[in-house]
Amino acid sequence: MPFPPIENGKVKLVVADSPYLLEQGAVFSAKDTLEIEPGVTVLMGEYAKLMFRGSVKIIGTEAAPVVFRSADSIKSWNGVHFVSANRPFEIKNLIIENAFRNTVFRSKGIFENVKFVNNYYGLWIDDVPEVFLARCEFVRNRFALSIRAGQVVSADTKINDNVYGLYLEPGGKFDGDKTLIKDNLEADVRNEAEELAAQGKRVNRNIWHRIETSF
Amino acid sequence: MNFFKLFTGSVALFALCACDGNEFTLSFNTQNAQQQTYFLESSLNAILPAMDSVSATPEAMNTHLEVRATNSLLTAYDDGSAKFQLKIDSVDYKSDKRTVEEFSSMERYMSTEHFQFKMSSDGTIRDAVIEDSVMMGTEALDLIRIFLKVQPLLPGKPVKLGETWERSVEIPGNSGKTVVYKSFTLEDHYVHDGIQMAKIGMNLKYREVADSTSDLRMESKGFIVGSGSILFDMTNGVISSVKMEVTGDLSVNDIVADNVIPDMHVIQKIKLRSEI
Repeated sequence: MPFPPIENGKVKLVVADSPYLLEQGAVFSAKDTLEIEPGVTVLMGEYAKLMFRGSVKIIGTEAAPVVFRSADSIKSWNGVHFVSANRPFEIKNLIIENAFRNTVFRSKGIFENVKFVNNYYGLWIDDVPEVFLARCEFVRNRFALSIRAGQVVSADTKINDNVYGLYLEPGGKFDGDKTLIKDNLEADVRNEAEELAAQGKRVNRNIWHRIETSF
Repeated sequence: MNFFKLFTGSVALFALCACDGNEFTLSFNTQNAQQQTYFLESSLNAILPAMDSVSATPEAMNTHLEVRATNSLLTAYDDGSAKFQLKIDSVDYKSDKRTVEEFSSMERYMSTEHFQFKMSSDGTIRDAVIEDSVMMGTEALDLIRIFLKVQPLLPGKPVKLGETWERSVEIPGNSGKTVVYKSFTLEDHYVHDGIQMAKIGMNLKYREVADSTSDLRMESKGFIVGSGSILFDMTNGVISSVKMEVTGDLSVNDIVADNVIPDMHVIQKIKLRSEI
């Protein structure tokens, strides 16, 4: 079933019509609502993205999680982006697979029992006051959890079997049990500030990117 | 109706080519412009000099972007302006500060970012926006900003060879709108393959102002300046090509990282060529 367009500010996804196919981007404004029944799967095309500019709740169940994954397992899709400003998000029992990048930008909220599987950037945290991870899992991502600026509070969250586990940029803070970040291929924890200092460099990745995009 | 279209088209063409003695009228075709293919190239080099000759080496970033796009007139308005659509056909992007996977992600999603804008016959552009942009923060290369930097603003009255006119334009960016002051000089006029061409010199300057809401604040030390030249196809009322080099020194304050980079030197080279 094609992913339905936003009509009258609402989209409802039901198990009976699952899986849905999203080919392009779906942007939910602050006034729009997305309701998803537990057990719904959304298959993502190469250009698909989900962006939430307002409050959002995605509530699966342990037995019937909501799943976002690429329609073609060898191609990635864009990802899920939470840009909800002061409106908190609440995400429970969700699986996100094969995305290029999933982002929390200037937003706050909680991910509970969310599995980030085989994404390039499992979860990218940028300029956020606080994000909570409870019983989440990061598996087979290139960069599992990247914190550019902001604080992630983590409880019982496992980051295993990725290429890089936790990537901390100078403004990022991780408050949680780092012993659960283990068995990652290249590094469990990378700290950009320490790497730069060791190389005698002053300019971090974010500064380069900001110059490039803002000049 | 067909006669009316022919008549108005002829009047527009006459107006575009009009020259009276040594005076030339430069005007964009906003009434019946043909579809154009744009080839945009932008390279950006940023260099941080070494702090001293012993302990550190210079740090640098090199990026290169090539965009092919189709510019089409959608609606011509009675006031002489028109709505255009710039559709991105292909993107080729490289940076030594990103990974190959990031290149392809950037290319894939920039190629979907078509935008519409309104343009007056003097080249003034309004309401240029990409709706529901997929990119955000430091992941967004601002195509509109690059196009607006090189967009010529025509004098709105007949000018003589050697005559200079000045215009300012607001260009949207991460830190709000930047006021860019542009100065143009009509340097030459010639006919090539039956097409009347104007060579226009362009200089620009602007200040980069820090975004007080951002945790990474970038501001220019003095003016960022640029110079270049434009070949304007007077017969068809379109840009033929633009070359521009923009340079400036930036101070960057990464507040969360408590890191101040006081003296970053940036050079941006932009080329735009169009084919009808």
